[in-house]
Amino acid sequence: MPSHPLRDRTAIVGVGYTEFSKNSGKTTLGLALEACYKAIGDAGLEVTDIDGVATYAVGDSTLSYVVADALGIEDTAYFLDHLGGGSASQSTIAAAAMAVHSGVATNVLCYRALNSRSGFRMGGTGREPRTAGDAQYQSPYGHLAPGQAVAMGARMHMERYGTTKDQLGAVAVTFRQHASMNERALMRTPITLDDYHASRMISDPLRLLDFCLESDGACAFIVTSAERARDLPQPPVYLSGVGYGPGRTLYSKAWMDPTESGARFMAPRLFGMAGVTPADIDVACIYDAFTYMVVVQMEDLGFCSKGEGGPFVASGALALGGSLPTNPHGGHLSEAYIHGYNHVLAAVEQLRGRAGPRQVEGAEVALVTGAPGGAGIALPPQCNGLVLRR
Amino acid sequence: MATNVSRPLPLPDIDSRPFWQGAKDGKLLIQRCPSCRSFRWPPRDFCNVCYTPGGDWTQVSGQGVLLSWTVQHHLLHPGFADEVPYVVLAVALDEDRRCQLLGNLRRATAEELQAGMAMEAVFEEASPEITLVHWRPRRD
Ligand SMILES: [Zn+2]
Repeated sequence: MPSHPLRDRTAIVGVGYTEFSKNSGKTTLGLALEACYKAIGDAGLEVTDIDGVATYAVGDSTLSYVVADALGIEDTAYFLDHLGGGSASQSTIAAAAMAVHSGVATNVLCYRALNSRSGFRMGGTGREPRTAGDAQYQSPYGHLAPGQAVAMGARMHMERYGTTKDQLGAVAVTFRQHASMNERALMRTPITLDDYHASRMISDPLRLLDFCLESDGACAFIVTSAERARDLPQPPVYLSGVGYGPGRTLYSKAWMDPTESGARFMAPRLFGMAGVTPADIDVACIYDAFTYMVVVQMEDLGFCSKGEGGPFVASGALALGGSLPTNPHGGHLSEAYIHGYNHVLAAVEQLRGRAGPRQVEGAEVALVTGAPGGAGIALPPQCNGLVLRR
Repeated sequence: MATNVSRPLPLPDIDSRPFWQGAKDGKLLIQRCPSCRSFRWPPRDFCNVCYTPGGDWTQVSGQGVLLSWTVQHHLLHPGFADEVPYVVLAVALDEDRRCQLLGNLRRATAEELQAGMAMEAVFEEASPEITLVHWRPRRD
């Protein structure tokens, strides 16, 4: 089979990030500028080399033309303001890869900047909920936050497959252990399963420690061609595969089961483009807005069979030293919540071999996912992911 | 039941107005494709099975099965301060399991719930304009 035309043709050559915190004391513009200048510098480029700017937001950040102007970029050959959070995270990098490979742009800057703790909170705290469109069938019943949708998916998974709260808790405990080795992480004190069970109930069956953090911060990346990447100072991290998959509303034609996610549609395309199988993944950075999302993605990405996600995540496989070291930075559950972009940062750091005490020895191929798509009831966002290679 | 004016209420649109009018009249109205006769929820202007435009608003039984539920302990909106912890549930209609409606639990507690149990619609006035559709276990 001929190699996919996009495989390994573009690379991430620069990364930048701000401090992750609960209160940045900065605007999202300020955060974006700091991360973007750092990424451009890390790549060994100048502002004048950047001709594309891509970002994503849910009405909670600064648009790309404002950031481009403030950075001093005079001309923009490519831009993207993608609507979404986890559903749009890795797909902005995929879009940058396509823009570069097609020749539309040369060096594309991708950023995500948000004050998701001190400002716009995903659960809606402090603002009126949407009541138009499909939200009119949800908000009046107090169905207001993603965690509720995922809790309903988790309950179905538990009823059908016998997935346990201990297994969900194992995800939280494992990622916290990883975060304890990460100076960037907001939550570094190790926890036990007892701590997990003692945490406050939020959306039964999901407790506080099933939920990710809400954080302020920004991450930025530079995507360029594989050819140019070889002349730049950092070891290139090649984009081997980019993948998209469906989401799920209350009205779906083919796919009605909240115990499945869009990742099962995406996985064969993503791995196929990269020319790898799940067994080739050395390190995984899996979108973990909730513990249950990790369980369902392990199944739908093909790391275990359907219904075996619970035992799989509790087996030790996800730990550093396990068969699939996952979220070595601590994930959204314990490092920070930069809507999927801190997962890209963690993967690049692993493939550059610069992850310090949490380095996966000899890591060559990394998987990074955004929101899994569906995996809950009335949780529309779509699915996206990347396979990266050093 | 007391209603709290600060709770979010639906903003009916051209697609959904017949549904909300039906609820106000104590009827559960669901669109049905004029061509392939499949039921459709939420309201949409085209059938996604046979792509035919339009839908016939059809009164259904108001009966279905419980798909899943969550008990919300954390207060997300001041309008629900008197309700926490409250149950949000999803019911698949007997007429077509693809029609999945959300609602709150009425006349039962979360402890009584079991996946797959029979449920029926309960109509509850939330404002002079809006009646919401909630659900209770069927007892027959
Ligand atoms: Zn039809």
